[in-house]
Formats: sequence, structure tokens, C-alpha cells
Amino acid sequence: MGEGGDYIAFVWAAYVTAFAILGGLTVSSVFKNRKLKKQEKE
Amino acid sequence: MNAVFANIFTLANPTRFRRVARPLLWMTAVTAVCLFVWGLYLALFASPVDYLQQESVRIMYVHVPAAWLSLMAYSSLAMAALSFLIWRHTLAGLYIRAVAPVGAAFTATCLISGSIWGYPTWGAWWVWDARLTSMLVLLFLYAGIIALADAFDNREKGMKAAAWLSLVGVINLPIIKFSVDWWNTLHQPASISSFSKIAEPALHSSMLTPLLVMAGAYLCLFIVLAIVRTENEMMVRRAENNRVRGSVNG
Repeated sequence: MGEGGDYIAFVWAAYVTAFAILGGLTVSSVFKNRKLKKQEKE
Repeated sequence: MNAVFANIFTLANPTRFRRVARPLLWMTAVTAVCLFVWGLYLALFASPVDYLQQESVRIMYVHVPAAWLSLMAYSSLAMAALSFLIWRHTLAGLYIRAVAPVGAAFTATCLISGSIWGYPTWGAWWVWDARLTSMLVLLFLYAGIIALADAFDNREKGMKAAAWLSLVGVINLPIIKFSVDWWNTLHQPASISSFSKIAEPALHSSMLTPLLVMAGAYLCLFIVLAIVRTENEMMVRRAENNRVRGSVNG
């Protein structure tokens, strides 16, 4: 095992990936919801 | 028990679902944001590094809750599938269509973060270990359900096929859970697997607290996504019905 600092890149990679996947799904779902609601009102 | 079923049946009505879902959505969304902020602070700054894994142990706080939620999402799909196939609740069918991509996202998060954790810990991005392979099968099951739900021109048929696959795939859940006990695996056994272990966990409280806070945040996010996406499916279905009615009338 190396120094603790060696692994920080792995930690950030994991967090960025997790939040990209879950955040992306959340944003796209919320935008679709708003779009469909707008269409329903029209 | 009858009261529980009565409540579920009441919610199976789309109008009532919307009435209950709206306030619940805002409550869980605000809770999710608060728990994510708190959980990220604890996970990235307040929790200690592991004596052996050093900083890489922090990956646990995004990896383990994703694994829990991927299994929970699948269990909820299976229950919805039963409800759809036995009682023909359309809302349950729409829930399957809505939640399958959410479950797939949690599974993908678990697999990718696990792979990133695996390299510094095991020296390999991927091993064909029983736990990893059964999680990959779970991702394929989610992909199959998403594909089947859209594979037919008739949406009802698609929902029925997806519901059957959801039920068949339940067999994979105990395999994932007990894979680390049944086979010799590189993946470590569960540290928190039952209520007795929660009382006396293998994890120190300085690591257990951020893990549980992040799990709470993931759970709230799951509820938000399930509500928003089920509502989306309801609106798409209503728009399609209106289009068909319009073309028949005139």
C-alpha cells in the first residue's frame, strides 16, 4: 500500500461517477416532468 | 394485514396517488438535499481514514448505499409486478416502467464505484467473483425489464412481459445477498447484515454514521425519483389515451 494521498484520485473518481449517474437521472426526470406538465396544460 | 392491502389498493388509484405523492415529494426532496450535504461532509472530511485502505475507504459511502438501494428497488419492482399481474393495477405497471431505470442507475453506480475501489484494494478493476457477477446479472435484469417494457406496440403487453421478468429475477436477490457466504469470494462479507449486527456492527461509529446518513440520502433520492418518474409515466399514458380517443372520434 502506498501513501494515503495516492488514493484520493480514486475517491474523487468514485464520487464524481456516482453523482454524475444519479444526478443525471434526477435532472432528466425532473425536466421531463416539467415538460409533460406544460404539455398537459396546453 | 387487510388494512395494509386496503391502503395499497387506495393508493393504486392515480388521482389519490398524486394527492399523496405531491407533499411527500417535497418533503423527501428537502430531506435528501440535507442528508446529502451532511453525509458528504461526514464521508469526505469528518470520517477517519482506514489503517489499511487509507483514503480509498471513503468510496464505501457511495458504494454500499448504492448496493442496498439497487436490491431494495428490485424488491419493490417484484412487489409491483405481483400487484400488476394479480390485481391488474395499471399504476403498478407504470411503477415498473418508471423505477427499472432508477434501479439500473443504482446498480451501475455500485458496480462502477466498486470497480474503482477494487483497483487500489485488490489490484484489479474487476474479478469474476460471485458477488460482483451476481450484481452484474442484476444490472442485466434491469436492462431486460427496460427493454421488454418498450418492446411491444401495445404498452399493456410490454408492462406484462416486464412484470414477469421482474418476478423471475427475484431469484437473483438471495444469490447476491448470500454469495459472500456460499462461495469463497474476494468481496468481503457483510458488515451490517441484520438488526443484531446493527446493534454490534463491525464498523466503528465514526464510519457507520456517514454510511447510514448517505444510505438515508440515497433512500430519499430513490423515493423522489420513483414519484417523479411514475408521475411522468402517468402523464405519458394519459396523453396517449387522449390521442387514441381523438383519432377514434374524429
